[in-house]
Amino acid sequence: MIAHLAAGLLILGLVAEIFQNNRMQRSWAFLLWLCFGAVVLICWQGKTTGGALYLDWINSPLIRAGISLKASSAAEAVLRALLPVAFFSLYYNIFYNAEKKRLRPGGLFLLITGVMSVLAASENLLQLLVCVYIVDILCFFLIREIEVKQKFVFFNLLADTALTAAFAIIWGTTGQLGLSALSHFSPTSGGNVLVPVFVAGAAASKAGLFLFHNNLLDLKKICFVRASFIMMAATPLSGALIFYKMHAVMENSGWVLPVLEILAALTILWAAFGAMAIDNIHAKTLYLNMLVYGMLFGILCENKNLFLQVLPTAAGSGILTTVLLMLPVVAASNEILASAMGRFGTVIKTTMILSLLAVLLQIPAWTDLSGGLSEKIWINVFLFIQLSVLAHIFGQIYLGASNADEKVWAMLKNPHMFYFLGLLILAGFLEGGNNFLTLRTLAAGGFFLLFFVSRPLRRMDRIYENKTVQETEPLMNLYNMLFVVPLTVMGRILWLLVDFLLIEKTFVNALSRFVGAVVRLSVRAHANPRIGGIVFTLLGGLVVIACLKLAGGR
Amino acid sequence: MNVTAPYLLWIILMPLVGMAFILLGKEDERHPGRNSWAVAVLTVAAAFLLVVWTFMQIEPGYGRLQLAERYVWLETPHIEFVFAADSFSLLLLTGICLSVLIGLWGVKEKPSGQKPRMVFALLFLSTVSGFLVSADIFSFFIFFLVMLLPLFMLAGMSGDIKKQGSIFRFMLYNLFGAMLMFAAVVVLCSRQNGSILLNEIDDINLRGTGEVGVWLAVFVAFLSRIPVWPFHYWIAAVNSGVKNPLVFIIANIMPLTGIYGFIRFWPERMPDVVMYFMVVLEAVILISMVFIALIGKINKDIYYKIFSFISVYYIFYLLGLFLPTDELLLNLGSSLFACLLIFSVLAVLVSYLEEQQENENLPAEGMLCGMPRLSAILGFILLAGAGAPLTAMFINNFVILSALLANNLPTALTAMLALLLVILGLLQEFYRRRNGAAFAEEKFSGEKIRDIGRGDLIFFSGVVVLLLLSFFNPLWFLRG
Repeated sequence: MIAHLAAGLLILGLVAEIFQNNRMQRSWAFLLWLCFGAVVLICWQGKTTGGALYLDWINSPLIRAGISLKASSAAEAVLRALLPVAFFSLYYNIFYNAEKKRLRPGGLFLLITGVMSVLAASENLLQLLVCVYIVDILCFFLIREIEVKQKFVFFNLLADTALTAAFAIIWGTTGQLGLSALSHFSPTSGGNVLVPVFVAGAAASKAGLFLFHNNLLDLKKICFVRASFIMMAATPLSGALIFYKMHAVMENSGWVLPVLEILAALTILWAAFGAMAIDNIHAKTLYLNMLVYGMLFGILCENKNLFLQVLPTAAGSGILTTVLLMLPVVAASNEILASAMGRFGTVIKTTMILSLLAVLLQIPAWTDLSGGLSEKIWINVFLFIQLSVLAHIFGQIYLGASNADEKVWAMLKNPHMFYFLGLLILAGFLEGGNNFLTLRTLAAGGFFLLFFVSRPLRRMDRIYENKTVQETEPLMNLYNMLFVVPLTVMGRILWLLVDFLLIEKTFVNALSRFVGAVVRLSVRAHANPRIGGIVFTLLGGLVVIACLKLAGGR
Repeated sequence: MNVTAPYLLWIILMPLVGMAFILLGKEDERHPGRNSWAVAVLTVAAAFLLVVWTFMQIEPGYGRLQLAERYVWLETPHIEFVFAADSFSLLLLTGICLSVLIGLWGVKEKPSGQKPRMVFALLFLSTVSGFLVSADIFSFFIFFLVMLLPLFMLAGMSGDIKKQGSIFRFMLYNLFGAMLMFAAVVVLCSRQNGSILLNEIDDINLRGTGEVGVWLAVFVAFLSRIPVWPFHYWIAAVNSGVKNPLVFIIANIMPLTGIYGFIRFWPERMPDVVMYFMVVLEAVILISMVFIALIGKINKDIYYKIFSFISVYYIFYLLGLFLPTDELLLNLGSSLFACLLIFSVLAVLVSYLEEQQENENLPAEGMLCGMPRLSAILGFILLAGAGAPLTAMFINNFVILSALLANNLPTALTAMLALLLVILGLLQEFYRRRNGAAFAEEKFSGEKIRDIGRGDLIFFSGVVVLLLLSFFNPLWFLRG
């Protein structure tokens, strides 16, 4: 099934990328969405028939590797998360106004989904590494803004290099590329201790955990649909999958999982603060997605199997929050600042009601997942924070004091019905027949509505005016101070001291002076035959003595 | 060694035949340099095809020299030219032919001084081919020395180097290395009273100070070709100072001869004295990598950045070749092949970009926004250079890195750091030139910026396809 699905998506994506057509973009995007649906439907229906595939890639005296695509419960769980994200991203790609060339991102969505499917089915390190790299490259094309691209490439290049080094150490030590052999790998001796560090660093960097989040937060400069697809179905998800697949190595190291757990907790806190304090709605959606990854990494540290259970709901929830916050922006003619909104509920009631309903509809899925076990605290914390943050933001947009200018007010209207249709299908998909009438669900829903109406954190709105909070990037400044500046300074010092002062000014000058002196001496010696005779006789004598000495007096 | 058709001699002679045609041919007055260029392109393309054909004639693998050809020069002392090849030497030769072809493409619109440039470029190809297929130390030394002449002429005539003095210093430095090599060859030949095959060096009995002297001379001779600290300065002055893309490529192929020298000359049974040098060499190599990478990162000259890119990769491969796994050399050769192509395309495209900027007096920032074709090819090449799974470099570097990490962790990590630094430096420069905001602010005039033509696009796309194919089948020469 995975082989057919991946092949279908890759072919479809390639066709979309090659046959770019500037006219009738919406129609082409719609056709692409339909084709995607058809491919998924056909492949999913035939999943029981199997269809495992193994392709021999490299067969040399030193290395043997292939590409394997075999259906497994883990791969299927990842597809349950991945395919809905692709489906809704392609859907909104048809309608979202800020997107001009719809076929290009559509094709890239399909290519990335295809490669991510192969990544989900990876059973060897090389396949995993290649997929991770290719997803990054495709995301690189999905991002148009050059500053965003630059930061994205730099962060991911470092992560991919670390991953390459880790996999190279594993292969060098065990001689095996299969993921099943990881349980025999001991990450506690010699250079092996670096493996969990590199893998954890790469996974955290890709997923945009706290300390590594800057490159993903920059996605606020690209349009909603592209950004949300990258966040929920591309590089950050690949980071989480690396963590999942390399779990055995991290588990055996002993200390990496606790560190990652702390990082996950900090990510949730940072994301909660950012989502509430940052004015830019686009950034808020990214912080809310960051919240999802904080939770997923927390779960991964505690219980690897629970991760697969939670992943489809988490991915759907990530997309849902993006759509929920995209709606008021579309309604307000692409006004992106929350501080420039307020009291929108009086005009776009339908948007407000349907948004609230969508949030309420996703709650049963979470409460159903979080019931019982103490290790599911991550889900409970996540749900509490997500509902609080969404209620706070909605409160500001729909009920808070109005700061919108006249133009926004004049243009303010509900987005067209296709936005709502997608939202309701998405919320319905998340609800998925879970029981709504449980005490936990009702309590969570009640809490959300109460928080929305009462807006207890309304004082936080003042932070929108604080330029330092809104504009500075403390971690980037820290990285610059710790790594970039010292490297630059070291490079300059080396160039100045060694290249310029030592070699150019000292060595070369001394050499040319020495040669000059030898030439002058030689000229003098030849100018006066008497002195010349004495000098050459002495030199010849010295050479004879040296030769005799070297020959050992024989 | 089985005797077959003299393919290897043809590979050496073919560029010389092309050179003779150029020298004897008459230039079209309306299009000066075009005939010479066309002959050179055809010659290099033919040489490339011949190398590929030769590749098909040998059994894949490293170390077993095949297609041996012997040409006696002197009876007493017995000196003969012996040519033979294996997959590794032919892989490098394929890469070099394609690099020179890419370089030729880069100078197709530079009519001034085209004829001598083409003559010396073909002479260089002939000598470097001879060097790569030499199987005895005498011919090995002859080609090692002679290839300096075309480089000197090319750098002097077409290099556009600001500091002419640096060319002389560079040549003196290289000649010094070649003289040391000569001394070592004389000592070695005197023991056998004639020429010695490269794979028979192990059998020569060298003792005491003679052994130290010979190996030290060989060591310094090959190192003089590679930009290792503190001798990198003269090489960098020329290799990064050359502005003509063809000459830039040729100048930066030179360090490869040092690396190849180490591979071919190196005895299988390491004498103790060589082991002592190895420790020193490893330290020098590491310092060089970090040093060149750091200076490349801060240097604003894009040519210096490309020089650091290729130099750091060369040094990385040098580290790989000292590992005690012969099979690794095939991965090394395949990776070097892709690396040469990447570097050559990079050099030609950057040269085009710089020329446009200089001629039209344009600011560098944002310039690539007006050149979508060039930008797309450059983007691919830089990603490939960064080690992404787009070329044979990906899997082969993985294998080399793995072996290095298993052998010496700190060395491997330092090498990785240096590689990262040079790549980041190049990417940073690329993004500076791709800055859309700067492009909008500078109000570039659409007519002023001239993107690469359709022919160029097809040519470079062909190279991109070749690189991609090398990713899918990185060790294609291992048939069956």
